Amino acid sequence: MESEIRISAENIAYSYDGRPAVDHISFQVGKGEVLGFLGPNGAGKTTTLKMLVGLLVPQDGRITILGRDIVKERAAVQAQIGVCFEEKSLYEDMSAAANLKFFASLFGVRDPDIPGLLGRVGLPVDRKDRVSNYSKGMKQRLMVARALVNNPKVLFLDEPTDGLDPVSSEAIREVILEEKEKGVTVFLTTHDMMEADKLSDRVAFINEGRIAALDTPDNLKHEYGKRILKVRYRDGDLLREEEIPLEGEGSGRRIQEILREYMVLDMHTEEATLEDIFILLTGKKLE
Amino acid sequence: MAGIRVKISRMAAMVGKDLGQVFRNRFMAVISVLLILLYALLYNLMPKQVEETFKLGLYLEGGDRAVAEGEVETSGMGTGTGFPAPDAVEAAKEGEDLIASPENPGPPGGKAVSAPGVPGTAEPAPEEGTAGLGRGVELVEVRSLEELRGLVEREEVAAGLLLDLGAQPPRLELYVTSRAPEETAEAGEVLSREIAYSLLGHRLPVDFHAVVLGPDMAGRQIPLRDRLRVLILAFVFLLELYALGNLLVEEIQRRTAQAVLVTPVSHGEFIAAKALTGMVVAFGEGLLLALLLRALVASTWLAVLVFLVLGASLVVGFSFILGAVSRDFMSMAMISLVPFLLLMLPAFVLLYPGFTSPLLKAVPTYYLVEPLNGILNYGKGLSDYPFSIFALCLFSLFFFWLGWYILRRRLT
Repeated sequence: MESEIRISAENIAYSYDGRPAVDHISFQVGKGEVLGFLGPNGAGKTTTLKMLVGLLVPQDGRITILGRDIVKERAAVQAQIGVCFEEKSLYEDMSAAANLKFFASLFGVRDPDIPGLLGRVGLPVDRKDRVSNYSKGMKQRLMVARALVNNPKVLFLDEPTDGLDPVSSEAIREVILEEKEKGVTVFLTTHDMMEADKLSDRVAFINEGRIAALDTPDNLKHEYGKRILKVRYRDGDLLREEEIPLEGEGSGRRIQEILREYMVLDMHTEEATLEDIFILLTGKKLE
Repeated sequence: MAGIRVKISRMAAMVGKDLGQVFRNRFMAVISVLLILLYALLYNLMPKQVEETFKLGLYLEGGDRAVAEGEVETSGMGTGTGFPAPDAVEAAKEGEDLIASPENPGPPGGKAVSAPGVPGTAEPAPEEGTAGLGRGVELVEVRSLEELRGLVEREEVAAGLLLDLGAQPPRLELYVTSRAPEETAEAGEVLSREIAYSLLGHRLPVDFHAVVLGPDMAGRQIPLRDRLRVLILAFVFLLELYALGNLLVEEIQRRTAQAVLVTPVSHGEFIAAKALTGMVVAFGEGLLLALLLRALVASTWLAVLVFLVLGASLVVGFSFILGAVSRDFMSMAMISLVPFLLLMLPAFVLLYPGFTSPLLKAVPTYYLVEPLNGILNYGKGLSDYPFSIFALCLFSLFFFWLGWYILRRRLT
């Protein structure tokens, strides 16, 4: 994490009818950092995101974005952030360009680079038909383009690639990495562990409104994962497969033994996935 | 200052987008525009004036005695033939003896006697005999008071006249329906006096007494198309409930409201933009319709504009509530059905004044419809309706506040 803190949540909490959705969590995200916020449905991801972008007022705790209190200086904060929700929220009877132009006007952006934005997310620049004719992936890419219309310093993306085709997902991932390169802070909620692993500098596991773990994917794997070596070898006519813990006693001796006595077909290390760690920490699966 | 400019610019962008959205909704656009044009066409095709024959029921309570004594000629039940002939009426104008007699009968073969023109002038019937009945007066004689009242109540006659010649002094009573205009009572009075004068030969030493059967709705004989004009204006206004309500429902349902609210746009700006859009649409369509219905003339334009603005703001308040409590267009249509009919009630009553009730004053649109009716059809002005203006402002503010409150809760 770089020194400049862009998102700071201190002990924030939110309940719906007395049932806590977010239960006093704290975290910080720095400039140019991607924080993956991971958790199953109903874990509190979207409620946290809604508090961060000013749609919900935290019932406890404090949030600052770019050094400003989101409750007290909501409009000033919102002028510098971009948000892409999970649900499609586009004016479907307007064209893609008209959607972008309208949202640009809400930010006071006079001459938005509409073709540039559409091009970045891989959408056709010259289409003038209604968004209702677009596919799900195209709509999602348009929503990402919309989140960039004001050149935000902080980007909030709620399940941006959920249920999308590989092409659309890849286009969105590329945009996230480009923004990160430009120094934009990205708060990414997802339940796709592979995506989080690929894109995030750090990940936070949220379960039942609480953060179960928060660290870099490597550190989490190192701390909670079990590194193993998977070896496939031929034993006479039989094909055998063996998993050897890398940290265990006698691991080296066993590896040497296999190499010496059998014909090794392939061997590779296997790390614990974020999903394994999540299950280990929460006892729950992500989906 | 720069902040205000930015806010105005954002509001303008939202209102522009909303207006586009309202008219891109083909269903609403077709409903609104086509109905306006249809109503305008209907209005211009309908008759401009009310054409009526004044049909007067007549019961001579002392008539039999008078006839027996040879003073009056009547023909009993049915249409009167004993009414003085045109020349007798003419003579009455000149102060001559008007007693009907065998030498001075009614029109040949006539079922009734016609006295055309403005009631009360006792002008003679036209030369062509009954040809002028359509614009004149027709007498229907009956044998009993009950029969007379029945005719009046069933509206088979415009008014019923009881003439008790046997009483001392002679007694005159005029029966009119509750829906009869003021002019009917006036005409009835003049005709009664003339009839009595012609039958007795001298002015009656009686006080005229008019009996209104049911609530007095005097002075409302306005051509149907003019009464319909207010109903149409109210209807088009209330249709805008759906246009703005639908706009809100779509914003919430499609979560575009949420997308807008994570930009620097505040809840207040968002709702205010919707209110402005609603005002522009409702007022604009009301204005267009008022122009097409010839409701904006030199003597009424200011008052009509004031009530159009107040009506538009009332509609905005309602539509906020409707939009906030509905899940989609269908649920909005279901939820709004009863309130819509209730709100239309004061306008429907203009067509059927007999159904008027003090309870209507509890319906907010009463304070829109009633003044518009007065201004457009009875030559009244703004100064005649200070309470309506106050009530409309109050209702508008209340519904606007309530709608705002519910909408804000829904948006968060």
